[in-house]
Amino acid sequence: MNPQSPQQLVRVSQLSYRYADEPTNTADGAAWALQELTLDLRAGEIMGLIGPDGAGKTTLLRLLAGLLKPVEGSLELLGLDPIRDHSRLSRQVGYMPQRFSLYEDLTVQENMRLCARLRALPRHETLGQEARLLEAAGLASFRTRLAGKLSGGMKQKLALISTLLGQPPLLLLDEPGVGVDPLSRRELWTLVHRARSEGRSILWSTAYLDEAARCDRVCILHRGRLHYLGAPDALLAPLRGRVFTLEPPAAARVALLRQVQGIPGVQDAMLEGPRLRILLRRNATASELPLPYKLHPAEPNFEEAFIDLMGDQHRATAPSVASLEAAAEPTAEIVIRTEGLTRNFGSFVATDHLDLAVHRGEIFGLLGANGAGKTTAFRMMCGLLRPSSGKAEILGIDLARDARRARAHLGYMAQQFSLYRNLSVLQNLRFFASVYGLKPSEAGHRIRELAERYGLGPWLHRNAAALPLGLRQRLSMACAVLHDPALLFLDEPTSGVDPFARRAFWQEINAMAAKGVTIIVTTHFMDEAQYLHRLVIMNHGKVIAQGHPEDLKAAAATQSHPQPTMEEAFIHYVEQGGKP
Amino acid sequence: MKACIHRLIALIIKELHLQFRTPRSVMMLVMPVLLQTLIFPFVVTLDVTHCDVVLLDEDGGPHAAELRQRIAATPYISHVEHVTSQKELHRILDARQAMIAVHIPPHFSESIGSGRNAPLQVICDGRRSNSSQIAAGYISRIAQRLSAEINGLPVHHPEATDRGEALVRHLFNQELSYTWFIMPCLFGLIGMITSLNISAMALAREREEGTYEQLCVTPLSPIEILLGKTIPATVIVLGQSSIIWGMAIWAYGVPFLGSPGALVAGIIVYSLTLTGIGFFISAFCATQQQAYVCMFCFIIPCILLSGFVAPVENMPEFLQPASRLDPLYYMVLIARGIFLKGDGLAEILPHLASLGAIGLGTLGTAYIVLRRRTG
Amino acid sequence: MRLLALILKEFRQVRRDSSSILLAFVLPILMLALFGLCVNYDTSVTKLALVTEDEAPTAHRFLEQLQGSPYFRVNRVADESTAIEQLRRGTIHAALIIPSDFSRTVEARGETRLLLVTDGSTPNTAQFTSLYLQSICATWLQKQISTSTAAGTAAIEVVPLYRFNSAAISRRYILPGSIAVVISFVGTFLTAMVVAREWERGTMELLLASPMTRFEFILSKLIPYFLLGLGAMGVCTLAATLIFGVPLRAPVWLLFGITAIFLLSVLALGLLISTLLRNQYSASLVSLNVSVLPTIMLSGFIFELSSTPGWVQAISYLIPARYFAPSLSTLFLAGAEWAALLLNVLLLIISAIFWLGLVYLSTPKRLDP
Repeated sequence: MNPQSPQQLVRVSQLSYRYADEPTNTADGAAWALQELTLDLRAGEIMGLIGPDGAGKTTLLRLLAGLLKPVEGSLELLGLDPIRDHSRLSRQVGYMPQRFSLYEDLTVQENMRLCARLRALPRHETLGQEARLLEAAGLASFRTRLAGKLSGGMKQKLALISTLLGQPPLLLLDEPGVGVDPLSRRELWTLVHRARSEGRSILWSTAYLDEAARCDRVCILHRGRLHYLGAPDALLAPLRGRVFTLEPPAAARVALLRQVQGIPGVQDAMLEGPRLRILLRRNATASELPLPYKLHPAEPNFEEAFIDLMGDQHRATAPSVASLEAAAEPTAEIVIRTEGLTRNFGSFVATDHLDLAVHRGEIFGLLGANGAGKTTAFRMMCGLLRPSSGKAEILGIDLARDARRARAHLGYMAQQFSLYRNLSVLQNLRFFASVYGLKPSEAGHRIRELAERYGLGPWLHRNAAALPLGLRQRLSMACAVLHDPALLFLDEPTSGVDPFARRAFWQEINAMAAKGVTIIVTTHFMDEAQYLHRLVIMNHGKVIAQGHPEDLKAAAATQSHPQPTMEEAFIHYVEQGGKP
Repeated sequence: MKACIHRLIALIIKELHLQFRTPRSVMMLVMPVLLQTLIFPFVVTLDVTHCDVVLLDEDGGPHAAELRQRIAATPYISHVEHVTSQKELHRILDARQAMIAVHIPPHFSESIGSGRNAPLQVICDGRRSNSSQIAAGYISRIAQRLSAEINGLPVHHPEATDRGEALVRHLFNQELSYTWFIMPCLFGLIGMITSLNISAMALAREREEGTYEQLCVTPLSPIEILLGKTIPATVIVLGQSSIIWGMAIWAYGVPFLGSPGALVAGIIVYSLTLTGIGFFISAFCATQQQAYVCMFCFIIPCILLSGFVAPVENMPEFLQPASRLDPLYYMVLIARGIFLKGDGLAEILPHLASLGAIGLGTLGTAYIVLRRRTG
Repeated sequence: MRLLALILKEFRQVRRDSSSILLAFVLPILMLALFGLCVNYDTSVTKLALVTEDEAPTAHRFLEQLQGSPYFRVNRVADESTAIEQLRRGTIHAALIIPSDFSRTVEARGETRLLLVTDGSTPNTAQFTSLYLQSICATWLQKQISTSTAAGTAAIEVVPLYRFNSAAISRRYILPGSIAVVISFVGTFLTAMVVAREWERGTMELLLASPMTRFEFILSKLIPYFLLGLGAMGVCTLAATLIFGVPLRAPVWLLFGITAIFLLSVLALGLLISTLLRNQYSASLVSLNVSVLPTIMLSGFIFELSSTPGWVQAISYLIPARYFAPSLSTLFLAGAEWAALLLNVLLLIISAIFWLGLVYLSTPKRLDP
């Protein structure tokens, strides 16, 4: 049972894998899900497995869990072979598949016990652990609730603590942070850090680069290849002194962004609230930049580190900046109005007297923890759910009266992937194009345009079910905007999407807003709040704060946090609002 | 209106894409039709063509010998096992090695010779009384004929089945071929499974996968969504029916006397009715599993009540009205009428009206339920 | 331990989704009742249209005989074409035409000259109708002759006897066969969706990553539904014996022992469909087509298999209900008649091993093939 070398729990060398049903005629490499991967995991460390959608993260974890058989190369966990010694190994490895693999029709406790017994853990031992873990995850009072009735964050916590039962020395976690609000995410990390302090090793896969900071080492994958293996800080080191921000006047912002992106010495540039963030190429210096504004040096982030690491490679998957028109500010015209919008589920009030007014061209955010009532509010605003009381109007159309006329003007992207899994990407796009009444020629043109912009080109003939998570989200988005809707409802659109795609998303959204499209969005990512014109923070069905993100941040400043991030501000409001 | 048709076409193409996406899914639609058209015509028959008889002759006289000989010579009786004791007779019958037992008692020939009635015991196997009753019928016909000959009564009309009391003409199906009977029934059976699966199961699947919600935020109206399932279902059922149609005419030589247009109309109305029922089922089911169980609960009674397995007249009085609610009952009448009796549109119109009424009732309810749910 | 946990899980899922309970306990009674009531080949009333061109007393006597028969509901119509038209519309089952020389031929030659026209599109009814009519004619004629000629005539008098079912009630033999079909459906359907559901909801990955073996997985899927299936059998047996009055002449342990072997086959068939297709939609389509119709058709309890061509009989050997239906009718009506049971039980065991083996082979150990 003892690993050969206690220092190396996992050893992977020259590992390659390709899916049997993958078309092999594509250019070399593209068909490989993993290629010549070599890495190791030491005892007691958290390794972040980081990469954009389709990088091979899930494939690697499945190989480690013995669910796939390597095509080439070898791997060893705790000195054992994952295929040959599957039954011995699976007792000592906690594997958490992507996106809640729980039995939704079993209760929290039943799910945990099932996991414990599947791994043949002695009952007396697990009972104590179970109580402790449920307590630590804040699920102790939900023991008898069905897993299907938990919020997304709670589901992920439950899935995580289920793998922790029996204290396996190794945890393989596949994107546990997807679809989880910042509070729950923080709790997930607390659980994982505690597990590490008890001597466990963790492999945490994620598409969120900001999570790299919380790992001991990170392993960056891109298109099945290893691009970096080492401490997260070392990733940032080469960027110091190359990242700057500048604060142009609002009117000149977008024009400036385009100008900056055209400068050869600039590797990357993006808008961040009122500021413009610039990453210089390795050999460029700030003084070379022909810019009329003052440059402030800034702390590099992992996203930039990743861009730097990939060079220009990532641009092939991440779409280039969409044409940004002059940044039009939202107009005064109100396109969505809700009055006293309330929805009860039995005695539970999911949304409580919501009064909102959204202006044309506005990017309007609904923020809140899982279960705060965002999705319910959202669904009532696009006519999917009848309010218990109150009313909602879109473009002056009362949804209770004529929802169908309103629907022709709105695009909707559901939280869970809800396109036809058994149709190809192209068939899905064509279907929604015709449903929205696009003429065939028009549709063809539009589909080509969107496919290119969202990087769906190589996937057009694949089944939607076969797409990696992030690409599915892009496809959903493409389907939602096919008909140039006046209103766009996006329910956690960037959940599970890699940073480049996320950024491209937001650029797209910005561009659309500039053209007068109104966007309502719910999100868990607090860093995305900066893209919003206005947002409300919801808790327990009520609005607890609303306003411009910068103002909300400023208002949340305290002595200990003079300059809070949006995430800190959010937690501040929720904690404040949580108290009566 | 034009936009509506445009959207509808998109829905139909989508559904057909889903149904014909992989060779496997095409197989799943075609294979059952082929299997059933290939096997069922050979199975559905209440004739007994291979009958094993066990015989005990305790008489041994000339009339008994004559009877034995005639039994052995009957074409439907494939084997006669002679035994010497009652015990053995029962053993063979009980072990299902014979369908019926014939017991010629002592003094059989003597009684006949002296002009008295002679009893002949035929023991049927109550475990398969239908088949053994038919077999017993063969024996009693032999016995009747034999006694008629002994009495010197005339035996005319060789074309009639026994003593020639009545000339029988079986209209529409002179040979009483069960294949002619079953092929029209298959239209109903196969159409039922396909239509229900596409409506009830596919709608439940859309609901489970969230695509239904996605459809709800598009300008599609509930009616369009329902039609978007109904029309592809009908198209597929028509495709499957054409296989059965072709097989019936070319492979089995079933006469087609009626109007093809009427049959197409019948299949379309039938399929529409069933999708209405499918929506009705799925409107009340949350998951595919539930839709599946409900569908099953519907199909079995339909098959039993349709008169395809056993005649409707033989059912108890209180159940017979129930078969008037069974779409399969009408479809069987329509298809059989058109194939064998030469019915046209005018003749099947009452059946179409009944089908339409069932379909409108269920579809209407489903529409109201779906509407209320989505708003 | 692990197996127990999996079984417990399955039971809990069953409890939370009432459809399985419905399938196992309510449906069998409903279906059994329908089979018992609908599938009836006992004599029924035939609607007969009568065209008579002969008004002589002899013809009237014949008509009296006919109208006295409980098998016929006689309705006089004007002429043959009206009768044919009614046949076409399906409002009558047969038409009887008594020609103008009927009485004359009976009196002169001791012969009945009649024309019976039946609706051949329902061959079963047509056949029975013509048989009844023939026998009425025969009896009537016999009476006519024996009254007109003084000399006694000898006749072979066929005495039918029904072993195991002395009253020859078709329900008695239909019901045991129906139980076989019902249990076959319930068994296949209980399991047809369960593995597909694990794949669709993503929980299969969790199970594959655990130390669970294939054997445990299959057992965990079999045992709960096996127990439900036995429950369904219990319900069916009670309904058949108490409500429909079918005797149970074999010991209960033997009945349930043989049912258990049969259940293994049908549950395995359901699992196989579910495992191979991995999605509920296809599993539903295939199980309906593979299970319902062939089981009704090829189990041999409605349609006599020995009358079918050899290759159809060969296919029927794949259907577990083919062995179970005759076993059940023997168990219910005859008792522990080993001579009739042994071969079928052996074949049931082989069938169970065959289908279970296929399930074992098709259950994956990993995500990739």
